[in-house]
Amino acid sequence: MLPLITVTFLQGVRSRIFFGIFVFSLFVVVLSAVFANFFMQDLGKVAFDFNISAISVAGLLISASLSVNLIAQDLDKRTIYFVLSRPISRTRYIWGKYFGLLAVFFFAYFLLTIVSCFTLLYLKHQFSLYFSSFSWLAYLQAIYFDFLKIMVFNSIILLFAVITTSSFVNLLFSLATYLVGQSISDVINFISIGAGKETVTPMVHDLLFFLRYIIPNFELFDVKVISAHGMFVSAADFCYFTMYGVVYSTIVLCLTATIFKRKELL
Amino acid sequence: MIHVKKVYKSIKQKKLLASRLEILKDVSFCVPEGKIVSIIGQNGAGKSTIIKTILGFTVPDSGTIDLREGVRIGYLPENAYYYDYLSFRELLWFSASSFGMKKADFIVKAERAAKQVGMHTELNRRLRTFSKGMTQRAGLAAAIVHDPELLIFDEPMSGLDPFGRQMVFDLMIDLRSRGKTILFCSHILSDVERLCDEVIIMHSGEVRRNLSRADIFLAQKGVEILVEYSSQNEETLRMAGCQIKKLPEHLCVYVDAGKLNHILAILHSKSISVANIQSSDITLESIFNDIVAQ
Repeated sequence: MLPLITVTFLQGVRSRIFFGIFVFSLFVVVLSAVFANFFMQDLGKVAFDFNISAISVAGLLISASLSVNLIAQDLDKRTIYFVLSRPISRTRYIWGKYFGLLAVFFFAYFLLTIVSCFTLLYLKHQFSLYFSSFSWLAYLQAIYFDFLKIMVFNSIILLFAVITTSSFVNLLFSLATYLVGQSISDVINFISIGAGKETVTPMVHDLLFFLRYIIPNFELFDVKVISAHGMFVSAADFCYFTMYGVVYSTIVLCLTATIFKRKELL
Repeated sequence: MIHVKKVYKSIKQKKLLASRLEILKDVSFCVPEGKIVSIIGQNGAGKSTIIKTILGFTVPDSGTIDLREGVRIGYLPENAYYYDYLSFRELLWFSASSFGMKKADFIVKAERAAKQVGMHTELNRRLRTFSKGMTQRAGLAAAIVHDPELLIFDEPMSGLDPFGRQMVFDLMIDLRSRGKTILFCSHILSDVERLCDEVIIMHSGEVRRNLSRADIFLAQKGVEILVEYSSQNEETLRMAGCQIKKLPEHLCVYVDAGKLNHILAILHSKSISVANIQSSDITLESIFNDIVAQ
């Protein structure tokens, strides 16, 4: 599987789209050193949010451009025949592509984190008064959970990539899943309390509770707010969120591999 | 090396309520070890489909394909497109390392494979800068770099200039001399005729003829005898085991050179007059054209 991971990694880091998004995100991260100055009272938190968001948006944009096209391109251009004629099973192909993608994201997140740390370090040095609640560990915690979110999101993208051969349809379904996953917890909370309970029928209520277990709960990974205040998730939550991300991705990828194994490659 | 037995394959048609389209019908053939076997046929005859079925890209509806267990395969797809962000060396590395080749071994074998396709000076170039012919040759190198026992080439000569075609020709001869088995599809019948130990002619998803090298050679060494058309004459010649083609007023009889005297004696004894006699112009192309015309 290592050759496939390497080739996928090279595909990612050598693509022009990746380069463009990466440079843009770097620009935003560096720009935050200037932009945060407009919010003197909350400079520390704004700089924190700005940097985390730049990394997070870079992750989403790379997913929407690179990951969405990964399998579709192999099928369209028939490169898949070259790959699968080697002793690489279809299951290994899916896992190889996935780990290759994770390597691309790790590389991008790593570089962006380093640059953003320098930006924050500069701001902290200049305006130390506004960084009283800032914690480097909390910053890394937020990036770690964002990486977990991207990990789950990419497993969803690969699932839709083998179900549909169209990149556009894949993008639509993946983005829809992402948006629903971001808000499903809020919706569930809303319909569970008094006023909200009366606004939906019992059937919709049950459907939403069912969906809660199917759709990935991306909100779990959003720890920006507490991290910006220098706080940490509990050790139990840390393990639970990590396990959730890993197990969810594994289940989705197993399903992806099962569907892909049955796919006709004529 | 490969045994294909009674393989059937059908696909869904895009039209609603349309029946399934049969693309392979009762396909059976063998590819013996150490031989070059070619599948020829028109576009849509099922050549690429049977290759993809052998490689496991698609599952047949029925029938079996037996491949010797653990055999290393080198495959060159039709209209090959590779990861163009890789360099030629990286493509070879991907191909070799997926077969578990070690780095030290790879360095030697990559050089050798690149040399065999005449591209050892291009190892560090990105594939995206290659022409179609160069990409085809890079694909050939990727198919042979791990020293496979079985090579499957889908249109290996397509997109190549005469020099490139000769290079592929020499490469295949060299591979056979090293005991490799080759199965390939081609439209270039003159190359097939020169290269192959066996030729499988496919038409409309079926195997129509399976010719050995000896069959092609004997056909070329044969004689054509033209006799007057009559059902009695036709019956007589068929009884003598001749291959006959009906013309408007004559019967054209194909006879192996070794049987010529025997057939002439039969014609003489039955008082069948001979209108013309000439050496046969049967080629693989004429056999192929006859099958397609049927």
